[in-house]
Amino acid sequence: MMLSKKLIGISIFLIFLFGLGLVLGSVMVPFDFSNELIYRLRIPRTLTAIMCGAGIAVAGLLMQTIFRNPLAGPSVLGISSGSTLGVAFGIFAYQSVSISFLNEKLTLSFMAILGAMAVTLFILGVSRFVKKSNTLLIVGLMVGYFVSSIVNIFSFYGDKTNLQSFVYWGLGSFNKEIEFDILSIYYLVILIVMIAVFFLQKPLDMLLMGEKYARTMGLNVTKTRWIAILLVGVLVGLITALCGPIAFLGIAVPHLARNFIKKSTHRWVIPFTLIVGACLGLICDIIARLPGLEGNLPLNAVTSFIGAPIVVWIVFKNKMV
Amino acid sequence: MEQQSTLILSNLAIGYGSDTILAKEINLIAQEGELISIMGLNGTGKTSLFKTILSQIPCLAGSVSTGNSELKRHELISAVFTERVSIFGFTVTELIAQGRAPHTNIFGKLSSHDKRLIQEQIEALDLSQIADSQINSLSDGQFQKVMIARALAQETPIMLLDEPAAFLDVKNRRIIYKLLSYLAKEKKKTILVSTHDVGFAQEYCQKAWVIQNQKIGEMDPKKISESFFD
Repeated sequence: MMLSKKLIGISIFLIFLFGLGLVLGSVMVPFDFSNELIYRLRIPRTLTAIMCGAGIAVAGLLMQTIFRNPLAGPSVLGISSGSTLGVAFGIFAYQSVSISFLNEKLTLSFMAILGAMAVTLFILGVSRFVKKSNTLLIVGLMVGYFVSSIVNIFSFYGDKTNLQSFVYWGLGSFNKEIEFDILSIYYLVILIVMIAVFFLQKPLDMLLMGEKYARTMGLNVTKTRWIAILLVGVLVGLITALCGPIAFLGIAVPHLARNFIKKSTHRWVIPFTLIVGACLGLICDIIARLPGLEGNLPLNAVTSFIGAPIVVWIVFKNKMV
Repeated sequence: MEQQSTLILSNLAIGYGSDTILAKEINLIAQEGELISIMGLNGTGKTSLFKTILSQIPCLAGSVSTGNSELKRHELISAVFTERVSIFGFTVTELIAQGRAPHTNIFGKLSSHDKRLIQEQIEALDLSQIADSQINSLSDGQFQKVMIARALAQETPIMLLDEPAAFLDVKNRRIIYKLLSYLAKEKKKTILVSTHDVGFAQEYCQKAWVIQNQKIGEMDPKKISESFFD
């Protein structure tokens, strides 16, 4: 039972990072829960990093399995761009000045989910006609560019205040000045989706053998895909609305998890992906607010800085050159 | 049990929509213990016939029925295809265990009965040496054996194999052929194999279903020669 030991080990590492996340920051504070800085700012922030890191990672895992493509992921296939479009539409088209009200925030999340699902559906539709995974990636990249161009047009016509809040949102951050009550709604939904993913482990394993074999074993492939898309859409939409488009974590983490345990069966890959995702989310957040830095580094810059080299490593490792 | 392994094609038409009918008026029966080769030139409809039997595409006319209409298609028929699938992080045993998926609970938990069955297939197909090897490290021949073991673990009376030996060398081909012949004779499976290998049909099969001019007819495989389709 090497795997259970690894699971315990990495869980302990996660707890260690959680503690580190509470203590470190632009101001070092002692580990004391009565400290206002800790419970008002650091706890929500580290929890967001954990939930969103794990959530975006498991979304990447779902996508890699349903597309049977090691390079699938929310940011690569344009899903994050879809959410961005939803948010841009929300911010500019509805001329909402502030994005911190409950209604507007939830509206934006809903728009982001719609955007994410629209792109996922489109990519899935295209994937039926595309045999080579490289072609699919090119289509996904182009969808990303296409959607970005629409976002740019929105920004061009939008007013300055909106543009500023939109650009700031786009840099990405786990630090949200939202009341904890509202944040916990996000956590709850993300948690429910994560639990739902565990119930998909058998169909996902069957899909690893390819659609043809899965069907001969009685799997309703279409239904499984729809459920998976729904889950990916909700995860990516919510997380993107909350933290901005997080680059590369979704594609990189499932590979780290699989390589760590040398297994692809979802019974193991799902929990490891969740925990590794949470760890990486925390690490990125800790780097983003290294002690000594005045402000915060943009989260997106940090995740790309760490994630992009991992993706290159995957390409070389899978001999895709 | 005898009935279950019977596959009846009655007045069947196959293809992709009424514009592209590949073969029609097919009336054939496959019975327990028969190893049947399905032969025909490329594009004549071998794979479409399989897809129709597996109900992955609809019958254009007529019907495919089995001895037991209460069981679902995947409980009666398992399949092995030509192309090799690349799966990272699966061992031979884990892949064979996938064959039990139709029988397990929502989390795919294997019962002790499932585990015993998987072990039986590993021993029957002489895979013990590589039981813990990674799928991607296997040779093409070993891979197809594992896929056959997986189909056997599915415990279906009928098996379909779509050119299972197309990418294999002479030695591995013979291993697969002997195995199929053994499964039909000793395990009383009904096995349909699409193939271009005339030698296989002549040497191992009791029947040949030949697709020609939009018809599928039953023939004595001994009467088929290399020049048959000229």
